Amino acid sequence: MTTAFFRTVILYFILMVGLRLMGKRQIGELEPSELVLTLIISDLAAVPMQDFGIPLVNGIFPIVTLLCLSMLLSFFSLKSVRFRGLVCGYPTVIIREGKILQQNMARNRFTVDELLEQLRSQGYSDLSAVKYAILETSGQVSVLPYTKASPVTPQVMNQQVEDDVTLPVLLINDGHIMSENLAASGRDQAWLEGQLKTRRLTSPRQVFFMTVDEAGTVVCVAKEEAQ
Amino acid sequence: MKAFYIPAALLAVILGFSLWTGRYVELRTSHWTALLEETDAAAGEENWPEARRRLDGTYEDWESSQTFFHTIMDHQELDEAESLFAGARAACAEQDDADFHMLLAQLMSQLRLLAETQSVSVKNIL
Repeated sequence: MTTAFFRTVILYFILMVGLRLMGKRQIGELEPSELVLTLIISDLAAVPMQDFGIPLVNGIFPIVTLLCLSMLLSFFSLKSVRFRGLVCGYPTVIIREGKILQQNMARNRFTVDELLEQLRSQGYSDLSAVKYAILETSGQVSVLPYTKASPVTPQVMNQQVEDDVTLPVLLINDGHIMSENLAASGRDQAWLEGQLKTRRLTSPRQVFFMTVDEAGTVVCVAKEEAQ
Repeated sequence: MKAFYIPAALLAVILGFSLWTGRYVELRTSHWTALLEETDAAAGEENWPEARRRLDGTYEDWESSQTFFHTIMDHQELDEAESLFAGARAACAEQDDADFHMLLAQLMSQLRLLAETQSVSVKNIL
């Protein structure tokens, strides 16, 4: 039992250090601690499940230990910026003022192909359009283009535009009325029934989804069988 | 601070329980080994009824701990000890001196191995 405890602690930190040394591109969108947790817990849970000769406690204890370690890491990460850096790493600038920082890329085992792929996926096929590119701790690349290559916005054009962005609230989700959302939007059941009636629908069950935004615009999509 | 104290307390409980089980297994197996040594001595004096009485008593004590032992230890190791107990009891009933001594020696060795697997040591951890 004690052996299992210590082995779990040791393996956890070995995997953590190993993944940090591997660089960001191997990690994908998970933080290193989350990835370690995901990898080990799935395996730990599977072994006692399959091998009845192994006591269940030998699987449960390491899992609880891992979860506790993860919670402690999260706690210390919240408390200390330096600790957070050690656990999650720091963002790395890989393009500065249009110049690729090859050393930073090599340090993170980030290849040119991967950089170009990330830039293309964000709509930048021309490297000269990129002023800054930052490799985030999640493994994603944030791109800041030169102003001349940035998309045109009303602000750039010195245009005054009406703010028409509203947040739609889901009122019916696959036939189910979202009562809390309905109340939060300041509407009631009678209003909802009225809306259904105008669309020749007799029941919320016939609705795939219905939303209403702050301006009162209602979007209703009926289920295919109701049409 | 709850985010710190809860996982820290849980870790302490797990570590404490692990250390306790290691110590408990060591105490129990030492106790059974001592009883088996007495059994062996009785058999050495050709006092087979006494040897059988002691062995049966040890086995009953062993059996009473099996539910807990099976929740914390590898079942294969426990099954091995169980079959050695059965062999020793059969040899004792037959009053087969050579087999009995050999099986008791193997059983005591298996019990020491059980305690060893639960002990905190660099060898086990690594």
